[in-house]
Amino acid sequence: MPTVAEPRAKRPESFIVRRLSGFSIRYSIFLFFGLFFAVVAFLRPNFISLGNIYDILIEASLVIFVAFGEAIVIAAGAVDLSLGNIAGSGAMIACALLSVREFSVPAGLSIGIGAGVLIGLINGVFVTRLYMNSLIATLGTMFMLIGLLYMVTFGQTIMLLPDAFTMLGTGSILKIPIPIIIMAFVFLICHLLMEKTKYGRTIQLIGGNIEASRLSGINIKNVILFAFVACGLLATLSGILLAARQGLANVDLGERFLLQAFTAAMLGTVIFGGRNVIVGTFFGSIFLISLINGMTILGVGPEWIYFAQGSLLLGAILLNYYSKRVLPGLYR
Amino acid sequence: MSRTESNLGQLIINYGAIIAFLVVIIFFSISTETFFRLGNLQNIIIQSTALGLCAFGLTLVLIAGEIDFSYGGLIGLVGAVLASMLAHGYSALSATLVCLLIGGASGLLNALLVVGFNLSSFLASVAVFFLCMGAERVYSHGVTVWIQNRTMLSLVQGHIGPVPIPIVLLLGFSFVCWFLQTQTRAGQHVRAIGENIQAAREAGIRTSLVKSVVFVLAGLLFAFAGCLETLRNGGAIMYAGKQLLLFVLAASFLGTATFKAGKANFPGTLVGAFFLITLMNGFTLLGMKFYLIPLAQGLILIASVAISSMRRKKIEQVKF
Repeated sequence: MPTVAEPRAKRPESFIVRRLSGFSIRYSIFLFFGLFFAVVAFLRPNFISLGNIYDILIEASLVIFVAFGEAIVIAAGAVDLSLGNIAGSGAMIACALLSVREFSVPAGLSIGIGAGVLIGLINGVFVTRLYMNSLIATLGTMFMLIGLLYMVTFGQTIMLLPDAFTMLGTGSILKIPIPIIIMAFVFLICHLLMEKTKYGRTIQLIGGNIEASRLSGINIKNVILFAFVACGLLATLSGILLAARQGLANVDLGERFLLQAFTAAMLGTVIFGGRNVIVGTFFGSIFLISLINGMTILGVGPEWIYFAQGSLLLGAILLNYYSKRVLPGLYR
Repeated sequence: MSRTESNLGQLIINYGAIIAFLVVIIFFSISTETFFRLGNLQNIIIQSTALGLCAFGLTLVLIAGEIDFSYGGLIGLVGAVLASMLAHGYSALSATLVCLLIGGASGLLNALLVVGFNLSSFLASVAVFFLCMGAERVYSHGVTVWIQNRTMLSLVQGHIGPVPIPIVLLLGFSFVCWFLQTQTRAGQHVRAIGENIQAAREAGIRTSLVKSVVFVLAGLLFAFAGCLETLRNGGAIMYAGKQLLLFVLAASFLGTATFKAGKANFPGTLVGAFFLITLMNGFTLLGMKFYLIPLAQGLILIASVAISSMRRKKIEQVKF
């Protein structure tokens, strides 16, 4: 099995150099996106119109929960590749119950979310009880879910969803779209969870140094399990919101989530140097979605948008590596 | 735990995949009439060729203690380049050489990221995977290009005497890989690095060099497997590598549940590849639905990885 390479600790010479490098990592991201926004806004003034900003926020609110989930799992020193499919499965189950079986909205939603939590739990058991590498275990789960979802739904598209459900994605309260309100609410909960509660702090401790956490008597298995369950829950939330927004659900509903959530979470981990991951991921998601939005407005082809997302992911990973291994002691 | 139990556990860990393989063969032989015929069995081996060669590349990297997902994108990219070069009238040899060059370059990129930048090989190779997939899409525009070149197609359709060429290729490569890894000093160095890189370094093995060579060799194997897969498909189909992604991973990890108790090895990988293709072949003969394929792939991957990692008793972290 792969082993983690030895950290090669190169200490930069002076305090000023370290400080400058730290600042440049943190602000280079803001600077890069700031410049991009300025260029797009100059070329296409529509980009900064209120309508488009709402569009960006709503789009971001659809992907942001999955990104939070991935950020929590990454903070725990693991990774979840199945979250797009968890989102799809949870949403499909909820929509099928609502539309075909005519369940009430709360009942259908809670069963769909319950399914997502269950899949997250299974992932967590694979990683913490069977000691599987999280990347491979969740890759296996991902393919199993693809098969299971086809088996249950025969690849059908589910439409005719009740209005009370689609309201979640399309309605607004006091002229503020409901997805944005939910986003603000979940953002607050996740942030408080990660920064103010024992579980959240422990997750970050484990991600930082698993050996030290074990020696200090933390039940690492259950904490990592909890991170996977939280990820399953958040992923399903995203899937359900997307289904409510589209007014339909199909088997590849969650397909786009993986790359986007992973990129946003990676950006979020880097922006504040491994701290405040939820706030970071919030910025990461907004940056990512406005990048896609801006490129679309500029008329860039879909393959280049895909390419830009991949490069952004690679850039975030490299920055993360640089800030953790090359500049040790600055952040942690 | 009583002694018999632990012996049984040992047996499952060492030979679990082979036992399951035999069970599957017996099941299909009984339940279908056509499975146990020479033509079908030959077909299974032919279909295993590209998968097997690709899995050998992954096995080599696994032995060195790293992982490489780049084949998922590389196979498609190589296929697109091969098909379009042949369509533009280049010779079979030059097209193949260019493909191998691309494979070597991708391996070199992996080596640069992992050895030079000290990135985790998971992340580095996934990045290369996406990069290759993007390059494939930009290069081919999603158009399927069929291959008409006779010389090239004979690589998968031709015979040497009565034996189909793919079978010769697969068995030849598996022997060469096994021989080089177990019987030569350099091959032993690869295993030594995978077992304990610190000890290997202190014993005077040039770990960075060996690791880089491993990634490049794996890239070459992936590229050759990509050529064979493209030829078997008859042309370059968009994202052909993505379909092999899980198969290859599962074959290599099934290999770790065969012969060598939790460690990647070439004979085990060969059995793993046969096992997977047999399963798919039997499923098709039984007329099972297409959606059972990802389900079975996922189950097999999880079962085989669970067998090889259960004994570790230690949670493995993914470091970014």
